[in-house]
Amino acid sequence: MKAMQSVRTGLRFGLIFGMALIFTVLVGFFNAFAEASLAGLSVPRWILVVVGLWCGYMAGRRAGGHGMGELARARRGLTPALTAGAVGGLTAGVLLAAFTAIIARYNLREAFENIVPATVEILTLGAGVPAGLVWHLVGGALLGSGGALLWTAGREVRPPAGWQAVAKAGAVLALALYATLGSISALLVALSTRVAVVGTLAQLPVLRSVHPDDLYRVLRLTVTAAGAGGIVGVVLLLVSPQAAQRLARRVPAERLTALSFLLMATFFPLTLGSYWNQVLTTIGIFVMMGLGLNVVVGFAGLLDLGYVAFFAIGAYTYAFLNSPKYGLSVNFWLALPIAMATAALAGILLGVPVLRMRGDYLAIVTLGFGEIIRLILNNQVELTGGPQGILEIRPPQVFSLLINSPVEFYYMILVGAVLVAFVTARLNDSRIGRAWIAMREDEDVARAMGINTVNYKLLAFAVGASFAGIAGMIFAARQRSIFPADFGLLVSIEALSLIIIGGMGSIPGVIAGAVVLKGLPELLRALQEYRLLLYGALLVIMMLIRPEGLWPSRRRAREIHEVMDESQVSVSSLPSASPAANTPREPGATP
Amino acid sequence: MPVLELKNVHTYYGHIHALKGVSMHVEEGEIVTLIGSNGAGKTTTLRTISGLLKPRVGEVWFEGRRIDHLPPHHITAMGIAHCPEGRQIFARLTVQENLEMGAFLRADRNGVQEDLERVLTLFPRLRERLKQPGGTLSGGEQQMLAIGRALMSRPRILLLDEPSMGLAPILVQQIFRIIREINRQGTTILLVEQNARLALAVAGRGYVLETGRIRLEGPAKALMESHEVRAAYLGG
Ligand SMILES: Nc1ncnc2c1ncn2[C@@H]1O[C@H](COP(=O)(O)OP(=O)(O)OP(=O)(O)O)[C@@H](O)[C@H]1O
Ligand SMILES: [Mg+2]
Repeated sequence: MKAMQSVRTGLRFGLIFGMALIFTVLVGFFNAFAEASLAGLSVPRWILVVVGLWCGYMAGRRAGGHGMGELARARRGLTPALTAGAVGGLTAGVLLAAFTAIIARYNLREAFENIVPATVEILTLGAGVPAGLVWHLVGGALLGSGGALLWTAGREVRPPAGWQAVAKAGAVLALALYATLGSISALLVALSTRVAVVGTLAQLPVLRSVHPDDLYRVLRLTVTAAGAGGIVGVVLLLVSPQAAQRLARRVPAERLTALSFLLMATFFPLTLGSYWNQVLTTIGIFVMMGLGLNVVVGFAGLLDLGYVAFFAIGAYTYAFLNSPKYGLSVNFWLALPIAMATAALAGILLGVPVLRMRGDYLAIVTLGFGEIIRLILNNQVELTGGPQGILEIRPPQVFSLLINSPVEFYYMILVGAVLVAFVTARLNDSRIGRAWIAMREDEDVARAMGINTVNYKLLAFAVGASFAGIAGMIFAARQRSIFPADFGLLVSIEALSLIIIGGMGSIPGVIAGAVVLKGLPELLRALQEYRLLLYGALLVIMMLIRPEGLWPSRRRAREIHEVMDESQVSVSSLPSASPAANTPREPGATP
Repeated sequence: MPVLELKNVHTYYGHIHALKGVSMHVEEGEIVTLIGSNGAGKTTTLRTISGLLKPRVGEVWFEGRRIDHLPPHHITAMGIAHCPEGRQIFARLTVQENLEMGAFLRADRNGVQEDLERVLTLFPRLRERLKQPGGTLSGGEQQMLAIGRALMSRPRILLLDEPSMGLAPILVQQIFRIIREINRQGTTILLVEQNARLALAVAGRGYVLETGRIRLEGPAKALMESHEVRAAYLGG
């Protein structure tokens, strides 16, 4: 009876994971990464191993009694988990073997362009058809069991209490150390072209080993530093619990992390070279857009899917004012307030007709607005040059310095993004921010509180639009030429995705989201073709494991946890006539 | 001069003629109750006063100024606080944040702090739950929060829409005691209720609304004893 249940659980998970694997093959993932390897194992093999283990882990977890009452869990032993894991892995293996046999025997290229002879080769690990299929079955069963064992082991091993806080403190300290050393190194190298002595200092082995000259290296060192720091923290906890707890309490984790990243963002680009600075500039443009959209969506709760329109308006306003084609040749700094005002005005113009709309309707109308602007830019050939765009836009000038190279642009964007972040943070803490919160929570009640919701909505649209306008201007100045195709729906989707991934309503979250969404694809350049797939997968995974985003605002984190712990909270707050209910609750009892 | 006066007010929802010439007045320091059965137009009357609905015909006057054409935030700023039907609190904001939202239009920090103290003294339950999200409060506590939040604007007149709705009898008694206390401290109150017996017990005067028209009006005692009210609202 119970054994049957485990087998069925295994079958179900095996089918799901097997199908997912086949889908991955069909979209061409295996072929694309056949050559790439990580730590000595090719990417397709990594995928096979990870999927096998994962399948066994999930099946084992379900059969092992995850999510059941304490009692049911205690009674269940290792066997059901192991059975389910093995059956799951084997089932996935059988599916994959059948699929491989079919594509080896029949020519499916007509239907699926990603199925080529090499695919069979990859899937059978180079062993050919009959032998490779045995691999699938044996490997599947073994990996599945391994996954189930991993789950069981994870359940048995209990790390010392409070280890997360200590690991976090250690990681943050190590990160701060790395950021400081790296910044010193970058600064010294940048200076060494002027002052020779500094160059020799920069050759110190400590500084050389952390010198930021490549974003891959920066990423690797960041992860290594944080990981090592975390491990040191946990070791310290085992050696001297008191010292470790004190450390965890003393380290202002959030502020120190923010400071470290600010340090890295300020000094690292000095030595990162043109290519990576170009990438960082793109990230910066998206940070600005994300911060603006965050005002509209995250603060005021107005879902805007046509946000790219304001980016386009900023870019085209600058192009009209600056490009010799129109004979105005207004310089960047003079054009800046004009472009901001134009974008803000467009935001209000969009805002007025949608004042009464909520949720889905608002999303659809704004979506349409974004497309209309793009179509106008595309079709008004006389005015905008149509698909040929506007050329010869000039970059800005600061005193005698023409901002021209990627590094210079990066620093301009950095200053702009910091300013925008500062302004949005101040707005959020002000009366205006409170009005937005009230409006987002419940518009009718907000009105009863005496909040002029019309003005505050329009203000949110205008502020968000003007930030996108600045971003658009900088984009135009960097590209030197702009085309309607630069302002498609995808830009709006990316801006919204980065907010969701980073943490709705949180300023550091928006920055983290932009770095992940625009930076990671650059780092995993081979993935470019699968960028959209990556977005989708990232969004789904985020919603599942961290719905509040990478770096959520306190309020948002609380809301999400409140929903999750709802049963618990509402039980503890039931009214009661007994005096016992009047004893004060522990402050912050709800996370 | 009455604090609040409605003159022949007609309010519509599209084609639906909800208020058909309502005239009433509230004097300084009074508790006036507006009773009537479901759908009589009580909520509509309050929403018309606080500017959430505009009358098509008629006038609303507050302290000698005509207010029926003003937007709701102006009306709130003038000193009319509307505590809406069905405990509409901000469920995801904490109790403290809810109360602070009630004082949104006020700039005098010290005054707001004083009023927060006053509200927390009226409702000790809320003090214990200041950091808790409003949505996790019990029904009665949410009603207290809604009333407390309305008081935070330091209103001249408080419009209460069915504060007893869905509460256990003990809690209803408690809420009505607090309403009387608020009035004693100097706030004029217009109380909408279906629980006519209790409402007439705390109020000085009352109006009986029936399908958008005032059917009866007078001192609460007289209404309580009137044949029609007894038959229709007090169960015989
Ligand atoms: N938004 C609306 N649209 C259309 N008709 C409405 C709307 N709100 C109320 N009405 C109608 O107006 C009339 C008066 O409603 P109102 O809510 O003022 O009644 P009430 O006296 O408050 O009733 P209750 O005691 O049930 O709260 C009812 O006939 C109702 O159906
Ligand atoms: Mg009502």
